[in-house]
Amino acid sequence: MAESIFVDTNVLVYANVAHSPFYQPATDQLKDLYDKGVEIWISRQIIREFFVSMTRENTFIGIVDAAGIVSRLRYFMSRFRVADETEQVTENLLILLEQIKIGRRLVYDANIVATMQAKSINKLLTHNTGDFARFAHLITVVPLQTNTP
Amino acid sequence: MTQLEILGELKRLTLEERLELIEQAVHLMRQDILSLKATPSEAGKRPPLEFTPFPVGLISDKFTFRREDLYENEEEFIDG
Repeated sequence: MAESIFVDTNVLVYANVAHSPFYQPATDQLKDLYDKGVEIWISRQIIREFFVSMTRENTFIGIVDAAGIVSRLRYFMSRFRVADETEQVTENLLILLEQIKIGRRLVYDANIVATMQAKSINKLLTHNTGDFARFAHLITVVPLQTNTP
Repeated sequence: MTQLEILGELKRLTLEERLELIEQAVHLMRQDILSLKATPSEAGKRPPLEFTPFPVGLISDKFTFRREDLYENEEEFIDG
């Protein structure tokens, strides 16, 4: 079975904004994983968050129209596996909420972990490693290598 | 493996495992179709991952993504 990794929204955002300080490492790591045959996973949550991120005001100079973002999302959906929000994901989330002290802001991070659990994906590629520290006993957090020359 | 043998194997799987298998098969077929569209000589190979960044600059050089920012102050978001 192919190796699998779940990619967090921040990696996709950085890989799509050339002026981002993390553009190069995000792009390099995504392509490297893909070229190695690793099965890259996103979820419906990541799709929504990517759209919201790319349409945020007070962040970008210039505007990417919605059609452009949707087109990019369709492209990612054609290349990556997309995890659905199933009953199992919700059940996993509820268990996490019971077992781990999670503030309201971290519910969305917990939902990513719940989705990974439902698909038996162990690795998460993210730049926000600290946000997932409390889930370290459940998943392996793979940090975005920001020291890539 | 014949189709009958494959069906026999399928019957041993749980419903969830069968659904996962179907999802994986659909994904593989989609990639096959994409690679056929790209270059017929490379049919069956994984299509390349190629995309260009969006033509936007950043208001702040210290731009970082924080998930919680997405779910707060939603009135700041532009309509799709």
